[in-house]
Amino acid sequence: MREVLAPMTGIGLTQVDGSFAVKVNLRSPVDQQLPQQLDGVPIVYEVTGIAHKRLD
Amino acid sequence: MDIMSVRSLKAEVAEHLVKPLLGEVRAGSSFAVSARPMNTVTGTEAGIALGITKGTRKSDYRLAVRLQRRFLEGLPNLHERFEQRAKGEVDIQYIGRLQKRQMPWHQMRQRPLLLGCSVGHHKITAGTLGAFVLHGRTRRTVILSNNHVLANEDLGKVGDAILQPGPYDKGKARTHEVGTLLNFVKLKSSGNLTDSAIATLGKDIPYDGSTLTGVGKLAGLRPSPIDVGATVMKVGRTSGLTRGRVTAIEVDNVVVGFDRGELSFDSQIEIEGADEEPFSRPGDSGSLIVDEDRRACGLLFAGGDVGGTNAKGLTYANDLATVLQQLKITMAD
Repeated sequence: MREVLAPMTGIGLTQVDGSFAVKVNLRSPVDQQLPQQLDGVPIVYEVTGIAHKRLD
Repeated sequence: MDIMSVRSLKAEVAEHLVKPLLGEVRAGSSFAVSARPMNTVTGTEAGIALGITKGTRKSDYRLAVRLQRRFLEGLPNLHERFEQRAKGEVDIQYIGRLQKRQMPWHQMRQRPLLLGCSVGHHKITAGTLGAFVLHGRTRRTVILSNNHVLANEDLGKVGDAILQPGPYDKGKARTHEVGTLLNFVKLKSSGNLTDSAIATLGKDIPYDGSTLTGVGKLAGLRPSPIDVGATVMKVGRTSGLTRGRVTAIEVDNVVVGFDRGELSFDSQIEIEGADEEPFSRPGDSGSLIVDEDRRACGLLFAGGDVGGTNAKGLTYANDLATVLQQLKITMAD
């Protein structure tokens, strides 16, 4: 999974329609087809870029 | 009217129309002086400001007349006098009295110290004072914020000065020192759980550790981890009070850019801003995050401008229970 998602910037739990899902954050859009579920659990992808420390 | 003509008209109107007009008004004692401290009276009373504004066509300009006192609008033939002198090429508007833009309270010096105000190690810019907590061993009240706010990403040394406001907000060594760096969780390239540090609170520095301005009294530590969909709030040095929604929990491998490079964090809370605002902006690092019942649950430390259902970016926070555990501190009552 990690090899497929090299541009991943975070992976956690979220909810879709009241049920838990895996959320995968991406550094940038990816061209390849990404899996939509893992062992029956939906996977949600979002391009978030890189977070930075919130210092002025 | 071309630009040269309107400049000439402006000078003429200032000398031959506005000056006599305000003279007449003063003689008639129409200028009221509001009650205020004498040392703030400068002798300059707001009246009529003149400028140049765009006309209807390209390279076309008009005289701009801005009235700063309401009674001026009621003077007989005021508009006609300007219209006549400018041959109709004038734009007259009431703008009222102008005030200098004031910095928000959270970027200013605050005594007593308040949750959400500007703070920082003497070598950084500015972050946010998150909370007042109890140091486990000494039971003394200490300041909680991020490592990168109080310990300058591990570069700070125990005993270094902590300023309020932070240096970026004109905090100066000695004058604005409120405490010293006491302890921090060292940052590593991966596997970080928190970006956290504590500082001592200087003797005789007053503080209010129980009120989150605009929210109310803190109700202690949330007894269970925050869940997806929960509404949260924070008060930060830059964006003040904002509301948000938890979009993901237990987020691992969160990659965050620091001065020293990209570091990754595990078990983080992800939050998006409510409505059309981001939940945080640069300078909000260190903010305490509370749930709808004002129970503390997170320590804000990172964010970006991309993502979220409102496309205003996502914010990341450490789980507060983990922060307390790592620093061996407890929430003050």
